[in-house]
Amino acid sequence: MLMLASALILPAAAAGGTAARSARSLSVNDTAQLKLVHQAGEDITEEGQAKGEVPGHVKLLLELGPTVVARFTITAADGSISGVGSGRPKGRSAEPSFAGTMKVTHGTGLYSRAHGSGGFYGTLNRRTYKMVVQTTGTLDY
Amino acid sequence: MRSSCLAVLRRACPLALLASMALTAGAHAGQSARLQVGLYPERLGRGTTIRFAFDITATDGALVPSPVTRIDLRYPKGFGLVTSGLGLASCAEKVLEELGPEGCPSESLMGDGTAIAEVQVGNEIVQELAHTAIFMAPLGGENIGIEFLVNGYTPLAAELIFPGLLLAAAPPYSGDLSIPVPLLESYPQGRDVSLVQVRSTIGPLGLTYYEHQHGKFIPYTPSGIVLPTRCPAGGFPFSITFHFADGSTATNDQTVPCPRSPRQQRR
Repeated sequence: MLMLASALILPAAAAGGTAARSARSLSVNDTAQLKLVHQAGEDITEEGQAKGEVPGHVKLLLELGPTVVARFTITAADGSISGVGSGRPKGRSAEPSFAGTMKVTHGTGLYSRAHGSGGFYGTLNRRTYKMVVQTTGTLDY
Repeated sequence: MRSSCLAVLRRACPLALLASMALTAGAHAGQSARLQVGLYPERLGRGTTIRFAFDITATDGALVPSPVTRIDLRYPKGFGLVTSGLGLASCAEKVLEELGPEGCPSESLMGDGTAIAEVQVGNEIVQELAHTAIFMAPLGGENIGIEFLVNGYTPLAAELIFPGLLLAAAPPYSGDLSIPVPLLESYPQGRDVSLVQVRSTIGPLGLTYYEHQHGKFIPYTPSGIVLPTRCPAGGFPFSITFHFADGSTATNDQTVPCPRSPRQQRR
């Protein structure tokens, strides 16, 4: 079992501007339960739904080497947010957890100027490849 | 790290009987290493067992090579060790020491093999034969840990247990299985034994796991180290570096040719 949670921790939520499009900052605490959709070597692809401040469809490309590298995209109603995180496995062999850092690299639509950084945590079930991912922090966009 | 032959658990050291024989000073100015790697089966995108074979020889005229103090075995990017289904359980060093491999969960065994070590006694070479086994260690530190069991069975009964770490490696490699090898005295005050040959697997070949379901243990074979769906130009690169007690190192690279595609295999 591998469970993956990611945390994006930045300043607390700040209100968006009054102009049509001013910079916004959002405190994020999202959790997603994911299922395996593809595996090739040490790379797996997981998908599922995120719940929290930015709910939407999550696609996670995970490189399960000595260091775990995750590239994620959350597709929400108003656009998408993409980023990368990394961490090291710990805990039980059958269900290791991961902890590390993550960075929002780009976005589309409402999140076209998205950026941020924070923590990256999670667990993976190595028998079923079900994952739980959590992100907390602040998203600027 | 040094282990006395007599200090290691559950073993006797007949080689001590040879202690009275005259010894010659060992000179280990150089060693060479040869690595051979095979994949069984060779199918892209599927699980496999990696078979390693390596041999160490002295290149300076010495009868035996200098003892190995560390091995770094690098494997190619894309090889899915974590996704292999191997090592779903773990076995701690203390359990191996106190109960032996029988005390470990079946799902902690990741591979096994044989090893040959040599010690020079006078002008003679005495060979020690051993079985080897690789276990998943409990996750806890910064890296995935492995436990190695070397069980010598002739001419002396000797057991050696030592940990290794799975480290990240620079491309074209994915990981580096880094194994500090303890020095082992052939007999008290005697020369350390020298590793000269290892034949080992990491993978499901010959392994049977048991999963506990509804009060029963269900046997199954783990999927194995999942190969990438694409093979890099030239094949899959492996590399091994031996560090020796005399301060020297020896590195050997080997590339496993790309497996034929399923279409080619059907022809």
